[in-house]
Amino acid sequence: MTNMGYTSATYYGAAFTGTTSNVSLVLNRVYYSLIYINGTTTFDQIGINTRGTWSGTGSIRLGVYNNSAGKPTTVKFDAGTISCSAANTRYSITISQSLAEGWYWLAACLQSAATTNDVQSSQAFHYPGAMRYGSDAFNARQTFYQDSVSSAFATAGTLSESYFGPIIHLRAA
Amino acid sequence: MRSITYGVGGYDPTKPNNNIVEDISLPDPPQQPLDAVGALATLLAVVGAVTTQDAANAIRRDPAELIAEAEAWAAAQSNN
Repeated sequence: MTNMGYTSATYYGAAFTGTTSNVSLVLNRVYYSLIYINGTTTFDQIGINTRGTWSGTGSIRLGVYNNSAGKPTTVKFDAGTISCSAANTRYSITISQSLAEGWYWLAACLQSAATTNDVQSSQAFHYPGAMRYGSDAFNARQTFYQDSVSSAFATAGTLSESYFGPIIHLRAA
Repeated sequence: MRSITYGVGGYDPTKPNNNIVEDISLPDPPQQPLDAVGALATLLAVVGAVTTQDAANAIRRDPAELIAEAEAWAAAQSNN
């Protein structure tokens, strides 16, 4: 695939259709969404947006996982956590990460809960060029999540299929 | 909208300002019209059938989006 090129200071995320929505993050659940990087690119931020209904103070860990057989596997990098207390705010962590061409999983995990943990999300993530229907071969299941993750990211464990999740951004350097 | 950026490593209470290196206000993006379900939820809130918060919760949208939708309707009505 020809490299589309990445524009400096521009945000990129997993592909989805339709409008954005809210998802109320579940404590200690890692949400994974698939992104294809089509040419070696350095990224300088990873982030997530709180929605207007966010309230209280919570902590969200952000990172990127490697892909194997269409699932998240080992940790590419763990960027650390953001402490979120403001609604309708883009929270980012400074990174300096070069990603080679390939598939990756963007990851976000609420690790201390606020009162309302609503972030910008999509109900319709998809794989560029394909639709994954999951094990039931009936409903689209393009994302995964993993529960009981309360500290730094580690190799992915037991995964559950889903179709929605938070929108996570990478910013091209 | 606001943008808060942490330094490398993210939140760190041992660093100044908890490692926040930038905190700026961004201009709000132009409001996109809601889909049919959003329009119906907005209508129910406008006529008082449900509260704006309940209508927004039902379709998992931000109440501000329903308010903006209703304001856009009002503006269009006043231009007719």
